[in-house]
Amino acid sequence: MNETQESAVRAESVVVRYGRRTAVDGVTLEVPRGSVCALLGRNGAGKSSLVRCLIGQQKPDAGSVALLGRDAWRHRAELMERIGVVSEESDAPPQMTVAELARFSASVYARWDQQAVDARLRRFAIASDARFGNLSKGQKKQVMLALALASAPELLILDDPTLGLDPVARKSLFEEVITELAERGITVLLTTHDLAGVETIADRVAIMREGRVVVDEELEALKARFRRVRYAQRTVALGSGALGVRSWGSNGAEAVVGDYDERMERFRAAEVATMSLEEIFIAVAGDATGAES
Amino acid sequence: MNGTLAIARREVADRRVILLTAGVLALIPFAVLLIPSVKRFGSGMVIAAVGGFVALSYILALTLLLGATFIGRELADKRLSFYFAKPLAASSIWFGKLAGSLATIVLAAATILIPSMIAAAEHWTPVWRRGIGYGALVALALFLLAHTVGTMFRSRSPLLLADAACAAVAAGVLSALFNTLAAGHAQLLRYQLGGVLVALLLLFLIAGGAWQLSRGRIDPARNHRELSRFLWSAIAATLVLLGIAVFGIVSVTPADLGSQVWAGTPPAGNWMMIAGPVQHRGDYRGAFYLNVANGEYRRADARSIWWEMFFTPDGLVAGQLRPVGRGGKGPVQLELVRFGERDVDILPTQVMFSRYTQPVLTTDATRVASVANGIVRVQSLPDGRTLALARIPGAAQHARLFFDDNHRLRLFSVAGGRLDVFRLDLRSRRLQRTGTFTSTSKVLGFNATADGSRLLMRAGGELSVLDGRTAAVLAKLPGEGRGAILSDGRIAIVDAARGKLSLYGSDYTLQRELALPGMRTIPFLREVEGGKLFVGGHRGGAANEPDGRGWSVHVVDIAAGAITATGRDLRPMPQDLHFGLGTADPRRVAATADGPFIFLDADGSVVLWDPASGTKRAVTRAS
Repeated sequence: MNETQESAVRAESVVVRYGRRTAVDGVTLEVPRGSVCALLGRNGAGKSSLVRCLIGQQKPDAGSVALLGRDAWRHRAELMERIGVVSEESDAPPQMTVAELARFSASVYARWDQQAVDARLRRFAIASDARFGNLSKGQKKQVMLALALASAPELLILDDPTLGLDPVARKSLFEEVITELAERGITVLLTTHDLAGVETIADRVAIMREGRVVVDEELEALKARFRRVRYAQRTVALGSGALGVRSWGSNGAEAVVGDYDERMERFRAAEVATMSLEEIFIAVAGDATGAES
Repeated sequence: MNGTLAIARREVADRRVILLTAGVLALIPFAVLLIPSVKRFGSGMVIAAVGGFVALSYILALTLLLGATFIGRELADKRLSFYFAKPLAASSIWFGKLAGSLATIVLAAATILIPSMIAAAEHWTPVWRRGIGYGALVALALFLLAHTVGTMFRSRSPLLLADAACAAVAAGVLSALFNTLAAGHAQLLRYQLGGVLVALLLLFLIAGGAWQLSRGRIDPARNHRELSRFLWSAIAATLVLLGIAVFGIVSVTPADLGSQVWAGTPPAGNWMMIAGPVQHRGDYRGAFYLNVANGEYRRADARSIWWEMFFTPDGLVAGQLRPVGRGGKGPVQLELVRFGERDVDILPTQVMFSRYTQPVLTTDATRVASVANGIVRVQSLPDGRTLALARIPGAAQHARLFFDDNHRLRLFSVAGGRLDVFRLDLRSRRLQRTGTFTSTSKVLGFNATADGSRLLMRAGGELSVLDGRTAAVLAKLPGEGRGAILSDGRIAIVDAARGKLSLYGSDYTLQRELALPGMRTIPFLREVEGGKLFVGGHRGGAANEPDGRGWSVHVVDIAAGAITATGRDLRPMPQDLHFGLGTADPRRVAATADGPFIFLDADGSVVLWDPASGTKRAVTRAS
């Protein structure tokens, strides 16, 4: 398989441990080229540890990670020429101005589109002489996104880019990514808790729970197989695909089924409702008792 | 490279405040001149001194601060990911930040120092300028150490305990290796190895930083782990190599000794000490107790070359004084080597080192007597007790000590043209003068018999035989030669000017005269067991050459009054040539009665010469 046929992201049996705690427990994940993959999970599910492994900043205790067909740990520096990263924490030196950050970044990339940076900063209404440390959280994310996109990356990795942002900032950030997608068709892997926002751009979803990937598929397929079903009686056999069965109404039962597309006939007697990504996430990533967070 | 430079530029630019502060500090030396009372020291001196002090203080603080934070703070604040998310190799990040920080320190130092160097150029002597070079090296070392220690502490990892253990072990090994070299008096070699080790340590610290970022990246604990792994592995490998090198250096045999060999000989027996530079091993000196009869040897501490060593009268125990701690100002340790036994006794003493007076041991090596700073002290070695302590009246320049037995010590004290004989009774602890000899000559040289009962005194061109207890003159002998009292009471006198040896009876009458052919300088006269006398001399000219060319040795049968053997190109060991100055006497016998005897050969190598057969056996190889 040559490089262009390879997946943009390929993680195999990745394990990350911190002392006795296993943060990432044998994760295998593949992100095809040209797709937008949302990596979801509750806090502590292991997303950030996995992302650090994906971008070659952390060596997994076991397993392997390849980006664009090359080992992420060994070829990190070369790979970063083709990858844009927006970290969870805005990690640029706080004393540098936005213009200095851009100049510094330009000096270390072979490809650099300063006009694109300037245009985005104008769109975000961020002054280039502002010190990075003085910017708001949302502005910092916007600056980091502008810098990440300036090298025309083939793969964009966004680690919780909307964390702490107000709805307006969140919307502008996603719009920027959507524009980039429309213009260049890059691959995007992002982690986020903004499920409503990501639903508009993601075509693939992976959900992590307690260090494991429990869902990894096309968003449309995911939404097709998940339904909320309600029965008037409680004594209904829902099968193994049912999640979080609970009382509904005076005598009825409600459950989420994850195999609706395969067993549609079975739920003829039930009241069936489609589910948003957020609802699916809560059903899948909630705790063992099905409690929502 | 672009990335490294870009990061370095950023590091300097981000620290503009440091350079601005340095600019303000540069004004201090000039501002101090506004204080009226300061001007009396001279404005140039004040500017240079204050400028140097301000720069040193600021740079020291800056070095430690930047060293501890230039990577460590960003690592702890999780901001190194900014660099790792860019196409920058870990080594570029490390070297860029390192270069930027060091450039900041250099610029800050230059900002403070250059104005004062210009304003007070005459006070910036080459010594001060050299100080800047050393200061830069120290600053680099402190910077890197601050980074290393900072990385280790910031991780708050239990690995710190392992680091401390490794550091302690490394220090212990290093100390042991350097002490091993110190025992061979290899000062230059230690300096050179120390320099190499410092350079290697700096290299390891620099490479270790690149390694830690390359393998640890943004994780503080992993950075610590990788840095520790690299550093301790490199240090361990270095210490192993150093250990091998030191082992190679110290694994010498008497045969490896070059020229300029030193030897210490006992009054009797086959064991002697032999020491000197070793070929191809820098300034390392090998030292051995050597049995000249069978070639057996055991290693000794070469520092005894400089710190006295001595034997018991039977030659079966060697004593060696060693300094304790640095400087050798306090009491010394006594190392007792009993030939034929494996163990070595190292005993603390109250003996103070004196360049002019050799300590003496009793025959059973249970007591040691010494003189230092005009005080004679006798110490019991098994329990360390001081048995007697007394101030010697008069300003003794040097003294000779003899144990009459385990309870009585005889002391010959020389000051100017005066010799005093004292007896120290260890039971009563009384020091009593028993005799005095005076001369108009300010220089006295004497030899004593093995029991100290008689002295042959050379003063002002006269030879006198003195009673060893009362210093009374027993006889005056003619001539200006040098001589020795032999064990049977006879006296041997050599006259280099006339090239003859005179033998006097115990009644001081002349018995025989022997011609000493081929000798114009005769500094060596030694009686050995079996009624033989060795006379060594040079044919004249370059007698100080460190080899045996031009030298010869005659073996004289005392009873027959005849030369029985002659060895050509044989020179006595250099320290034996101080004949007549009170440091050599006929008690020192280097071998058995029949030989072989130890000499320097024509090429400077040490040989054992057998007078009976005339054969020479090499003990060392000349370099």
